[in-house]
Amino acid sequence: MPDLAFQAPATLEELTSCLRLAGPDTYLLGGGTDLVIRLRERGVTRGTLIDLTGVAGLDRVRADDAWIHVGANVTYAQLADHPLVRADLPCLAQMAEQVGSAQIRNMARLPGNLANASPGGDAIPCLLALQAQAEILDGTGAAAWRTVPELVTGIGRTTLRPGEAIIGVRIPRPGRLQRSAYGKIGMGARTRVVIANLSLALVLEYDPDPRRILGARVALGSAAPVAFRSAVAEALLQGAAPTPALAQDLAEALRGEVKASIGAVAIFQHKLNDVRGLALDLFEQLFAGEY
Amino acid sequence: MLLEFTVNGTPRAVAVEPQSRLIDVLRDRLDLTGTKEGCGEGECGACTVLMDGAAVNACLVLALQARGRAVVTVEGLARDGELDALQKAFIQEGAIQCGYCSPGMLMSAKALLLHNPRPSEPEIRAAIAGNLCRCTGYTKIVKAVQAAAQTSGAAHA
Repeated sequence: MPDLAFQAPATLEELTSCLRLAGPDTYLLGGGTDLVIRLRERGVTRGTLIDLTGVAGLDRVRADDAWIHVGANVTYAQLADHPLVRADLPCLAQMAEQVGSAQIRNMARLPGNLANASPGGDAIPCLLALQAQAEILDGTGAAAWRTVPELVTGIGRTTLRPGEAIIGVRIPRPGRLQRSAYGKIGMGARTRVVIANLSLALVLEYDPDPRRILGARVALGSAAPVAFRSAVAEALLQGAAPTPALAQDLAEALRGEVKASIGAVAIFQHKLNDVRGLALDLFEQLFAGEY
Repeated sequence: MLLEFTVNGTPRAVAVEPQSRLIDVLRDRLDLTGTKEGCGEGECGACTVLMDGAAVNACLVLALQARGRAVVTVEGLARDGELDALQKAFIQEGAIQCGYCSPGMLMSAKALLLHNPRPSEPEIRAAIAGNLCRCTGYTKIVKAVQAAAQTSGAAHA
């Protein structure tokens, strides 16, 4: 008789015990919006489900001197509404409020995007541009931090091993001069509930006096198997003053990055326009009335 | 495994398989067939129910994840034999055609009004963005939610 076990650890200690026994047929369950579909597609009837959603202490956003910590059980709906996130990490709030539908946002959480390594994952480029790190717990009770590039390595591929669980994400606390924005474009009949066909996150350090971009991190999602930062766009912005010409140059630079990535594949050509539009939109958001 | 939770205000205990989804338990075990399954992958919203007051897709929640929680289905909207203001407004405004999306649409609208009793039109449209309707074109649904918000607001005043 095939059997699927369901474990519901209530504490990190209990989770550690569950992880110690984890194998290749162990599934970590967060909000379930990806996993429940996959379990059905694959007809999974044996193995172990570890439900992370009951683990105490992982449902908060908190800040210390250096980091903003987002627990693994903070839903996108909570993230989008959180005052600290809205004030200090606008691109993260913008990303969270654009994930799926209200129903999805009420259940889904950041770790799923990372662990599933979907090329269309909304959170990945945002977390990449924010230089976020995932906190990973294993069956020994040890916790380690991995950056997004250290974690997400390909379509559906990560460096997570059986018995490792993402229990939170931390993001460096922004300095006074940081500005950020996130946007995505999806295709389909609907304007709101879309899976990203192209997403862009801009995280800048900008000094309004003397009008200079002191630092820039630019990440593209859904433009390649894995989200990536654009060195060309970052170099272009670094040290520059925001002008309409700079916005156009940024749009062209990102278009070039996407073109190099997608090559001649016909069904991807719309991404060239998508990225230009997104770049201009986000630039306008970041510097409205200042250029 | 035994699932203990509250459904439409009544405590329930049901033996379930770990892979059972909330929609399976509601429809097949508790005979609450008002909740519909459309796509089975969180796209159409026909299966929307409230879990602790928040709209969720019952096709994407494992039943055991509802343990200890309060679930409300479309059957739980009426009180003492009287339809909820939203249900009355859907009828009044002609917001129902084939009716398959209506239970989910009502529950998404209910979740919205619980948190935001006076929503703007864009807020209504955002709240039901995860609910597909192939008949109405949404206009009458949006009107019905606006009408229900006004009725409820008057009732509270």
